[in-house]
Amino acid sequence: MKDSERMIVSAWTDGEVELPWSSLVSAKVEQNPEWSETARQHNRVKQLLVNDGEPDWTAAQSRVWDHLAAQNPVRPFVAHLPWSWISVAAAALLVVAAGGGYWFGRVSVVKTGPQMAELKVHVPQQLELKLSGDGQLIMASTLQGAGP
Amino acid sequence: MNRWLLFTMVGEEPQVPVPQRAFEQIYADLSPLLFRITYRMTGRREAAEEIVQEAFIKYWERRDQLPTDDGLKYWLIRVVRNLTLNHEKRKGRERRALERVFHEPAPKAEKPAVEVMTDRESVSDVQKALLELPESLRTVLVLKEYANFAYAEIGKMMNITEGNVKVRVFRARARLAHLLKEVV
Repeated sequence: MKDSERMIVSAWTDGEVELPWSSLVSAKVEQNPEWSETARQHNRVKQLLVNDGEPDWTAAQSRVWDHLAAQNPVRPFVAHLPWSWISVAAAALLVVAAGGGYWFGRVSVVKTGPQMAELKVHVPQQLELKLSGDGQLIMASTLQGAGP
Repeated sequence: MNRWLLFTMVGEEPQVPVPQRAFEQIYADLSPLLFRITYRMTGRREAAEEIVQEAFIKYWERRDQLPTDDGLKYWLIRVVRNLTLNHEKRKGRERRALERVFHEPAPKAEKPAVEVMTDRESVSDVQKALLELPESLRTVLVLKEYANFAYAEIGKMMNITEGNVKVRVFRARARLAHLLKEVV
């Protein structure tokens, strides 16, 4: 029996020979003692391999999972967010911070208004001011509206 | 300017994260198969655990670029195979280094390194015979008998033709039959 024929029998035991060839091989295995013996031998090797005892992997599976958890893969979820999400979140925070800053700034300007108005009350009506610059001009215009 | 570019580019190519739950599911589904294959390739439980763990770390690091269908299974098996080969090479180097230090050959130096590795563990005659096969034959036979892959799938995983898989499976079985002639 040639090696090429033995190889056909090996593939046939794996169900890897297509129709109509598989039926022809089946017939040959039934009729020819040499083909029959080769098929028996291949099936026997298959059987020995499949029936060979194997460790129970349940404990190993848990152990490896614990190691994985302790190392890299299953660290906290936030650390695994993609950069796009982190960027969007950072941009959103920036916008909120800027908006908040602006808002509180505006509130503080409004609040300084009454304080300045309060100052006007104590200034004499006939007061004359020497104007020398924009700052004083603003003060003067404010003073003009302060009288009774 | 650079900051704006970074934001834009990342935003245009959204990455779909593999949530932790999906990772757990993939681990639960595929790890038993990988343990089995690796054990049959190395003959050592410890090595199988180490290799499977490393394979899943590699998976986690590249999860966004990997397929989610059967392609992932094939990729993990390829990783496990490469890690197994590296493991065997490393063990071989360690053994040779010890031989040099003590000026005497290891107990079974004329046999493949993989067999020497198994001396410390009690393995069956079938497993010992399997470990005597060259890696190229052992891998295809393990994938056929212990993972039940079709020749075409094995070919895809190992980047060889289906015909080549057929030849290797046949040669592996013929050698095993010879090694186990008392029981075959």
